[in-house]
Amino acid sequence: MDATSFLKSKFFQLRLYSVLTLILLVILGYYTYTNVINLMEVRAETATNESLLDDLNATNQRIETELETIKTENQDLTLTIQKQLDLVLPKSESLTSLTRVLESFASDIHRIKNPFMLTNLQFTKSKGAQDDLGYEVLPFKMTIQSSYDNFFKFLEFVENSGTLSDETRLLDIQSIVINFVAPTGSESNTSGKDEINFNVSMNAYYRSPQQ
Amino acid sequence: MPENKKQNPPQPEQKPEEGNLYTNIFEKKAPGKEEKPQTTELVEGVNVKKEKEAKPDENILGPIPELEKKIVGAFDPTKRNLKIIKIAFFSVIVLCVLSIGFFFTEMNPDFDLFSSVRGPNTAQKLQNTNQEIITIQTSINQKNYLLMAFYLQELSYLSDTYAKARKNGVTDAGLADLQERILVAYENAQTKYREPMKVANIPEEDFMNALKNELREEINLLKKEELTDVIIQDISNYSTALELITNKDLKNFFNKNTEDIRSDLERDDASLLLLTQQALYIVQNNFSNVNALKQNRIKWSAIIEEIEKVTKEEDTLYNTGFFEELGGIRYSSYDFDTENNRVMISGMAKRDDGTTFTLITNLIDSLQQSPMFKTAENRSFPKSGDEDKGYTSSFNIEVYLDDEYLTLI
Repeated sequence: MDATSFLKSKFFQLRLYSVLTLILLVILGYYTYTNVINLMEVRAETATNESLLDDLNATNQRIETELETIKTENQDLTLTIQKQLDLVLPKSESLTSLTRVLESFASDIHRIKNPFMLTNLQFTKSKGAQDDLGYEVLPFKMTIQSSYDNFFKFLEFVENSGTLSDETRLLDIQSIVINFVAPTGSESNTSGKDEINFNVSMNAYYRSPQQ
Repeated sequence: MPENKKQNPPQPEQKPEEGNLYTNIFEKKAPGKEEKPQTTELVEGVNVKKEKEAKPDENILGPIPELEKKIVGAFDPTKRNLKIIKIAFFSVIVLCVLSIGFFFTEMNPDFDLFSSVRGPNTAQKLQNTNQEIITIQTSINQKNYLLMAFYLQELSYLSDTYAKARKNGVTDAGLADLQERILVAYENAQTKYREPMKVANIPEEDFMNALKNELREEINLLKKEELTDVIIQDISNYSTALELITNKDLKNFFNKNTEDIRSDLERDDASLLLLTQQALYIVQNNFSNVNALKQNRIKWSAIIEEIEKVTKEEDTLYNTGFFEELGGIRYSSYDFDTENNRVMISGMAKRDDGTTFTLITNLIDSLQQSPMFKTAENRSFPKSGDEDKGYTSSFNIEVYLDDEYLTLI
């Protein structure tokens, strides 16, 4: 290599290094600047979080106390609700208690001159869970000799069933066939009121086992 | 460089031993440089002539002299600057490496190499505090939702009681007390619903998922325990809280202003009644099941009363005990079918003048005009009897409950 080329090569190197150094400096500056900003933000956020954690711990403690207080103060109400729900929508079929309730109602309103006699009661197999709604259906059929007045009392009893405060099991009529066996004024009528026989298909309900 | 080439074209006379004195002043013979093979004078002459013809303007003094590299190197003005710039360049590279290294170790949450010595790095510290915030806020959210579930249960219970109280006629003071308790329960639940679920710059979804997981975990743990009344109640509360998280109706339910409802109560309780009805269905639980079943029940007593009312319009002596003597309408059976909302009414019509068909069709038309029924029909019209005993016709009228009535039940 001759001297001129040598000198030119040196100048070229000088320029190249200068340019590369400058480019690197710019890149380094930008990289460092953005990262320092980021780092400062992260540190500031961490400091904010630490301060927030103190507040959250205090809030958590306060709500814990509130929850415990509510649980203790309303334990009676919770148990009452639970008990009433168990009567309205029991955890199982509870055939025996349902039978007692129905006969108890019948004997309460039955009079010789105003009859209401339950002559047949037949429970059929439970229909199982209803579309995952949390309850199951217990169908049953009854045959009843009754006065027309008492028939209305029976309808009222069924229509008001399922009220928590009444603690009555939830019942629903699916179909009724009423036969007017001895209307008022007919020869066979002895009570002086319309006498009927009716067959009623009903549903009682209970909670699904998973509830 | 091309200029240089132009000034110093390759020439045969540049051979060191044959070149011009000035052109060779600083040049050495290259060690590996081989001498050109000897040629004849004739060939050389031809070559020289050809080259002279090809380059007629060649400097007759030969190429410009070049400086010896070593000598120039001693006076090289770039050497110091180059050294400085090289140092600067490599320093910048070192700084780059240090900078990248520093920020990598500080800002990479997965970098664990020095954590045992110097503790977590900046990114890890932030990650740890974020995680801690999610844990504590999830615990707060869980308690808020459990409280909301409790208040909603209380609200459902009071709503059920309120419906019964309105029906049975409770004293004004008793009703007012119940109304206030309902509103307070609603306000409490509303306050819990409005508590912020997220804090800091962490997305709400993170808190939501953490809360769901926490509640599911609690339910699974409770189910493994002996199912006492308290445990069953707890499971119910946690399940309700879990359901509330995804319940989209809550937003609408909790947008009511209780002060407006209180002021409406001076006029009537329509707003409060709406609130109590919504409260019974807002959560899918035993309350909502019971109330849904109750709402879907058909009020058969009202239907029978409507049939009797319509019948009395056509037969004013209906059910007065004079059917045998004076005729009219007497029913022998009702068949109510809830599944199809159908009522089959069977009976007998009696008229001395024999117009039993008219009586039956009038009854059918009246039933059809009743808002409770639709499509009443009787396909068969038999008639029997005579002038002395009167004429009788049996009927089987099939009517369906009106859809609009069913929605109002």
